[in-house]
Amino acid sequence: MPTRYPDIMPHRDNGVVAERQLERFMACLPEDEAALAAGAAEVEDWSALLRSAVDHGLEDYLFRRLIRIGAGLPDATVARFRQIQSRKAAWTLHLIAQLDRILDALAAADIPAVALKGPLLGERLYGADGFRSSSDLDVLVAYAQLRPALAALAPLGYRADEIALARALAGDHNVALDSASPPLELHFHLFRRFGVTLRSDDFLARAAPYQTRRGRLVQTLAPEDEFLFLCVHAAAHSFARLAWLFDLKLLLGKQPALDWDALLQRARDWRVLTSVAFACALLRQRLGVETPLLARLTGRQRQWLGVNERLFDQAMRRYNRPRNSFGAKLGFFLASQLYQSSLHDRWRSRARFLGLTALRTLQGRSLPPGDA
Amino acid sequence: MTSFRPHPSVVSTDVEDAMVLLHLDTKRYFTLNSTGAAIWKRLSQGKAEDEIVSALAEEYDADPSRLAASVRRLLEQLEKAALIEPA
Repeated sequence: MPTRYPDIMPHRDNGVVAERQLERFMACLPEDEAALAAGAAEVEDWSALLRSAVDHGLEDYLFRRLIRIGAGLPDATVARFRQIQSRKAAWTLHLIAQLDRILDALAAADIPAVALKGPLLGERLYGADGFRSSSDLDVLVAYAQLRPALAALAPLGYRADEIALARALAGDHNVALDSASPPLELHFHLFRRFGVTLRSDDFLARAAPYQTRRGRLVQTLAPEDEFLFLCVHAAAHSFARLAWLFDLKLLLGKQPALDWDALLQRARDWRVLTSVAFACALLRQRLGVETPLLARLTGRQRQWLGVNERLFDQAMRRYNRPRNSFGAKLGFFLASQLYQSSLHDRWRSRARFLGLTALRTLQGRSLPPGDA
Repeated sequence: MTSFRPHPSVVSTDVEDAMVLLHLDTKRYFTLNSTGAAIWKRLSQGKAEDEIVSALAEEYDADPSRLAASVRRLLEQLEKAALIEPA
């Protein structure tokens, strides 16, 4: 079940009909079933829609609803969906059981931890409406607690060798532990990219308790921090999965009293305003969700957002064209690097990113996430 | 009549009307339909086989002898897959 992030770059110009349908359907949900039914009446290729929904991690949420409203899906599509759904349910059970063990082990060692994304976010946002797609678990601990946390998790089979650990500490925000299943990303920073490091201490201090369906008390990010984190995470993965935007949509629905001033201030303080604003812009463009954050941007910030959008469009257009020739490959490479650099908040950081990318490309090496 | 209980390593989740069971030791998973899910829920509540049959017969207004055969068949399958154990 664990998968790498899909190598897809959804974009309004990529010519994939099922993806546009998927976007329209997810823009209707969770509240507008009439619009969903109207859209469903136009679907000709249900298999393609299911494939697209799987790619974007939204098949369970969408197809449950389509079946419930009597959308007239072909039996073969329903049967295929049920197979996928059962497998996903089992994987989610596996994730939840292992997350419990991980949190137990950390608690026994007196290490405060916050569960990020994963099945708990699914439980909080999707509820009984579906299982959220998660390929692994993400847990945040304080930087100073990383080694004690690794020691506490070793009995569960999670091990990191010193070289991988040193590499992670030098340039990443987590240690990827895949020596046990499900894989665990143990975060010692919340996030590290776009030339900034979101250190864990503040986020751990603001963490909010959540009681799971099984009655367990778990720490999760404060709502504003969670919104910010989901935005920068999606931006770091080029918004390849529509589910990441849909998570934001559901989070906004669950947290109508989100403190936008605090969120804006934190995004500024952490210098991730550009990526957060761009996620909000895509949320509006793809799922029709308005966020107060965009209205709070200054004129200059709005101008820069326009630059982000144009560079993203350029990168995505080139991504979706055949890239057989050297020129086409180079064009995509340049456009995507310029787009990535535009998500940095500071000019110095953008220039550093482009310089390092050029240098590493000439050396035939890739950038560590911390430099990206 | 033997009483059963879910194996301690088995976890379950509702999936609309159905239920998915996962054996955490073997990593094998199983899907129960709505009737199977109803039986599993009662097993989890500590009900004995005859109590399950009576409860379902009342709930579904079904023939108790046919229901008893269905419950027995499912319990045999669950036991064979190590999803339940004698209580």
